[in-house]
Amino acid sequence: MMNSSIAINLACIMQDAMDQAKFKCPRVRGQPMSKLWTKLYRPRLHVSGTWLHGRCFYLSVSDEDFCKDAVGEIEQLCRALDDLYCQHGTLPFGLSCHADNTYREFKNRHCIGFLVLITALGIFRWTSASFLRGGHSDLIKPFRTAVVKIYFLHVAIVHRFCSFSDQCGGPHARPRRH
Amino acid sequence: MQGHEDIDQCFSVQAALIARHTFDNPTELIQILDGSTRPEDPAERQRAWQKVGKVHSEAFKLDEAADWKHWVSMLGVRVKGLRAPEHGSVLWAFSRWRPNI
Repeated sequence: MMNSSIAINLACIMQDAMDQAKFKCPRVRGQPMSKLWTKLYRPRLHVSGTWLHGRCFYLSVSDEDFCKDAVGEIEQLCRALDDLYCQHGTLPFGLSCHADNTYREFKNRHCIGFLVLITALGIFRWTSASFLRGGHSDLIKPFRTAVVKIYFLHVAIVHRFCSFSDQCGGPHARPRRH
Repeated sequence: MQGHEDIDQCFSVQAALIARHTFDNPTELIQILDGSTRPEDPAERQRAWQKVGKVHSEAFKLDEAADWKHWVSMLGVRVKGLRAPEHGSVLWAFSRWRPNI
């Protein structure tokens, strides 16, 4: 895996959630729905999918009261990456994340900060966050530039991180010869 | 960039599977989702017979998550304008930068 180039040696992850209406609990089938049954409150389970391309498809089932925000998205992302690391003992150079263009789940500063942080820590050499194209055609044009900006943003941050660490003599500082 | 239809097709398979089953709690739902890719499942037997690539799938209960927001906040990076399609461009703004993490 490590023999290929930096540009194509990547993990591609897609994240999305399924329609919650299908997962009302308890679910019955083949019975006539009475009026009392239709008025009954049934909690809707939250089923979210994380597709690590070429490896595995993870489905997480959470309760209705489980917070569906950036924390849950990052948790699923980390589970997939941890599984990949346990199988191969290493991670690819790059990470490409694809998720819906919603602030609630992935397009927020927490998830972008997480991608920046794992890049700055050297876990990945580059990361990118983009959106799932279909059904979001009105957002394609601005976010085509966004993906590029995120990539260069990470490069700039890593460069700034390393230069700052060099000046301060931090853990990432290179040994200097006298 | 990937298409939304790719993952929607995966979800449609799971939705068709759920439509044929009933469940009373999340554990039974996980068993249904996880059992669809077991070797004894008819679909998996058909794939093995036709020598098609095996499908790796895993379902789990997400009960708790780490406090990633707090962990990420140590970075001190704030990104704004991630969803600003009405402006035609994405705006980035960093309030502060603390690389000594």
